[in-house]
Amino acid sequence: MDDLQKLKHLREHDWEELSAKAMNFAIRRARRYGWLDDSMLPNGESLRGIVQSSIRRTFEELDKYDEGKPLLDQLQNRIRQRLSNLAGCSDEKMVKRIANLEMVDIAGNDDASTVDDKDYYDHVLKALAEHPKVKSNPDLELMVFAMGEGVFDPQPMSELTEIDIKRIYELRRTLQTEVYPSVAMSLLSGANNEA
Amino acid sequence: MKHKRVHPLESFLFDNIDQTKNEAISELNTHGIDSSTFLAEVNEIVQASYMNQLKVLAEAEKASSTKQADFLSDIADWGREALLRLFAQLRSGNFGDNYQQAAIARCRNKNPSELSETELRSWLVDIGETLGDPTED
Repeated sequence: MDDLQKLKHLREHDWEELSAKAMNFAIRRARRYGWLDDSMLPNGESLRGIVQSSIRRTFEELDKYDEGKPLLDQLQNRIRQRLSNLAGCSDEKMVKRIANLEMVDIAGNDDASTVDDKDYYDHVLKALAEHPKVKSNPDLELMVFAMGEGVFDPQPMSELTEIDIKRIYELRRTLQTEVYPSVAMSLLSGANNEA
Repeated sequence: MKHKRVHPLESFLFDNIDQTKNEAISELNTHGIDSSTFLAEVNEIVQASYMNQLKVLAEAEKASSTKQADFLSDIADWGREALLRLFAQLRSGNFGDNYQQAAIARCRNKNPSELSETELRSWLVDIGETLGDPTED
């Protein structure tokens, strides 16, 4: 595909759907660093500005556009990277640590190189399991149990828990929007209190 | 080179590929964002970025065609020695693999030094038309 074909291919996407998802993604990602609104972002940046600039750069950097991969993933990777870079510059230790742990090295030995990651993600899983919303919902409890067993893909999770796949997606949305934000905040504030 | 991937728990907690467009727009509203304004801004950005990139590609294409036309017009005036020298440079790979392969393919069964000026020029015109101006930076 040459640059002109890539450009036309890019434009054919439903940008309203892509941008709405990307903006929600940016908001959720920012919350994990404790950034509840734009005034809390470093360097005077805004989430809307980051999303819009990611859209512009997707058009400008056609050589980086891989038409074989979902565009949403490519757009969200740009946003994830930008937020992670901002978090890396944060004065707060825990925010910096999360930014460093977000990606794992698959070229190296995961078990050996991610001891700290494991420790952090064990904390996240434990906090998810202890959340009142999870404890009061047997399906959510089962789901978090499956995650503790290392099962994260919806299909195998559905098979392991015997919960319908559609229900798995609904539960994941509950976990993403109603449970994880408060878990992320409590982990941040817990770390800040320890410091 | 190190390859990185997102931790599976990260993916699980942030993956929204299954969300519908309406659900995504509703979620925007729950975050206190005026979705109509937001989407209107995005549509403007997409349209402006598309037009801007079209312009950039058109300008690049125009510059490339002009260079190619200049090259083809230049070699029309070159003598045999100059044509032979350029062909030798192409064949030795001075202008990259594509030009080298094209030159080698051309002279597989012939010795370029035995070719007439017309034949040499014809080879170079073919290469210029297919691959563009080899002397372009």
